[in-house]
Amino acid sequence: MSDAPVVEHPRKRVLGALGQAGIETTRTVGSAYGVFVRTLYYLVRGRHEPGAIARQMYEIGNRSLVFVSLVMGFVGVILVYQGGVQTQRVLPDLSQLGATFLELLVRDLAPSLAALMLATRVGAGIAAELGSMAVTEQLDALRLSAADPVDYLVKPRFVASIVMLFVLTIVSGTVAYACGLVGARVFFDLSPRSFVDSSLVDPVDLGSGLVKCLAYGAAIPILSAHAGLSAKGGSDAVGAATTRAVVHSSLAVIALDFAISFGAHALFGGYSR
Amino acid sequence: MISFREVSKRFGTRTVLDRVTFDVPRGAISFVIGASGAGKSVLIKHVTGFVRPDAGEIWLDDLEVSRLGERELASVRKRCALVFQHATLFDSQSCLENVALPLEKHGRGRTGAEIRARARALLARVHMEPFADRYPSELGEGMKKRVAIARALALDPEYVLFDEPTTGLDPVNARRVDRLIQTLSREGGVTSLVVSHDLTSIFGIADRIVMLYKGRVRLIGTPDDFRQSDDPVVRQFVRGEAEGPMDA
Amino acid sequence: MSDAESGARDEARSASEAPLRLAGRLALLLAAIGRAVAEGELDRRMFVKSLYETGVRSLPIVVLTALFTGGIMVVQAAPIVERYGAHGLLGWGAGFGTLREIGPLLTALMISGRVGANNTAELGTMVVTEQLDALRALAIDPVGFLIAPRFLAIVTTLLLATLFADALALVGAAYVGAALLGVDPAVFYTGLTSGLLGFGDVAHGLVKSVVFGVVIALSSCHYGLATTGGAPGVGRSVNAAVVVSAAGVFLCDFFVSFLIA
Repeated sequence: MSDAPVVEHPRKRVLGALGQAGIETTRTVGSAYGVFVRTLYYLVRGRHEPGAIARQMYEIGNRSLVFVSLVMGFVGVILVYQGGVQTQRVLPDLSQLGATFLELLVRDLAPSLAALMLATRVGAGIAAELGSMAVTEQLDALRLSAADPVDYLVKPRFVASIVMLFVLTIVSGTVAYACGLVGARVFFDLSPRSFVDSSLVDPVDLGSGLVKCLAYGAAIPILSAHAGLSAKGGSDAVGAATTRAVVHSSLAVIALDFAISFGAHALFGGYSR
Repeated sequence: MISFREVSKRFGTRTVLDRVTFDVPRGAISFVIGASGAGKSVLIKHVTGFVRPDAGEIWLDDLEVSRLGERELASVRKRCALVFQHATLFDSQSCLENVALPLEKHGRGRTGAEIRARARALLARVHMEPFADRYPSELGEGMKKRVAIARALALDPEYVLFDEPTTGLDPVNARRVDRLIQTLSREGGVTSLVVSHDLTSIFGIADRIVMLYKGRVRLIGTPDDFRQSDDPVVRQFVRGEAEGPMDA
Repeated sequence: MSDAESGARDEARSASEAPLRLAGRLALLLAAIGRAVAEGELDRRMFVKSLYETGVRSLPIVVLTALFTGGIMVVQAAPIVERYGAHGLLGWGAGFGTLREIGPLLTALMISGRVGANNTAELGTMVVTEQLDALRALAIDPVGFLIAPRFLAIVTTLLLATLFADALALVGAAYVGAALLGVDPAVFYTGLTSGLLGFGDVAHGLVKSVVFGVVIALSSCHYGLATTGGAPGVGRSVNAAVVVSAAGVFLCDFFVSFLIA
């Protein structure tokens, strides 16, 4: 309960905070893993409820699409601009700008940034919803009728999140690329023909992008649901759960990003050249 | 004296107060009574400017409260304290810090030690001094309510408004709060305006009672006037009967 | 279930509140904070306390985020650098992205999630339990006592955290570069300081971090203060605050990038 919002004992030392963060991370990963395993179990053995999954796909996907695409559009312009300005300090020509940008988008930026947006938008939503149900004892009511909340509530969100993160990544990545293209034209007078160049995108880039989508898409709903389900207490508990969900899912995205990028480069780095 | 003159308030389509007019005389304990949802709490929140009337005026002595802006209301709130229905203590602060806060912010005391001593004295008045260093989450409702009263008294208000002070308390704690309100008026000269539907409190300590029914004043009088009233609505309320003319 | 669903719908409605009206409300809040500070209403002790708490809360996630960010930047810069066979440029490649964009952005997003969301939850809980009205009843200005200290603490923390995260990310990047590409950290640091990057790049990121701090602090305070409806209401407020903060951060990143280019 160190992040219950209102209880504060300001004598905690900085090192203590770091140490406690470490202990809590371990504990969270452990019990979130339990939720993950149960979700997988119910995927195979649980109820079949396409309606609930479809509703969550709408909730998670369609309603995030505008938000994620808008943000990625802006990001596309900024990155092309910053990258172009910096490249001009070293290289005389920008002919590789479009190709490099596309490579980066496919390999990392599109899935990772879309996932960070989703961690905020959907992670907070899941935790607020499940957390409210937890403190108003709706979850206990579910359990009393012999229904595991993981089957009823987590599984549909899990499936929906994985599917919709692929969709969001593809759509918002395309938006980012299109906006980058316009930016390149405006700032550096690059023709769209030379900007659109997929020669640098190889199967390893595509593969690591897709693996990232899958990993983020699975981690966000599990960690957020875990935060929501473990909410206990009054109104401060729901707020604390929502906070935890956003922090844990965003950190998970960043950590997975590093792990997958590092792994892909270490294993297939030679190929990629 | 607090005066309500033709005060009306609506929330959406629901009329909560309908041309309510009455005075609260100085030094006495006045009660506003009525069924839940009769507009009692809304009524006293007008006095400190938390709720604005749609029509009518509220006067505190020679100040028309209903015309003041948020900044000018600060002077009203120093003279007229409000004890909320829930204790509303700041949970990040100990009882002592809760009571010391208004003293510090309004410069009542030159040094930290002086302020803490005053805060302790206030806690002693509500018999909570032994719990000065506890946090609100460690206390029961009755104790929190008493600390909240101590905090409300910090600025030596002439008027104290109590919003359902005994609701949610067990009978013993409820009577302790009653006694506290009584002591404040009898010995401290404080004018109290209490919103309540607790019959024991009402007939235990009230000097004057105003009954609201459907947003309007139904009867003003002493406890005896209420006991002897032959108005069926008043009779049903003061006897606590299930059957009668009052709406469910 | 239906309760929670209608709650989610309310949240979305409040999050997609007409952007102009939201901007107006945030501007009013900023003006109120400015007035409180100008008139000496700022409670110094609360400011120190808020600063301490936001600092302690942020430290672990800032450290983690910075180290990972450095690693990610090197892994992403690696193929580009290798393509030109210019290992000396690795420091530059990872450095400019970190200093100008990714450092400030990721630090802001993480602090929004940790501190901003926490701030909304605390204020929301205080509003729901009438503690804010209790302050007003004691003739204490909630803006000077609660809002301005938190606002300033968040802005200060984000600025310092970004400075710290920049440094830490580059150290992390140097060692990941050594592990992954065999680039000696000394070569990495030379790439950083060879003149391609300057104080301008650091300042660029820091200016952004102040703007991000203002955005996060304002939206987290606004949604905290606007909380209604008990425990579920607090959850909805936190949700709306982090979404608006994230969108605001990226939007401001766009404009600030060009304004100070």
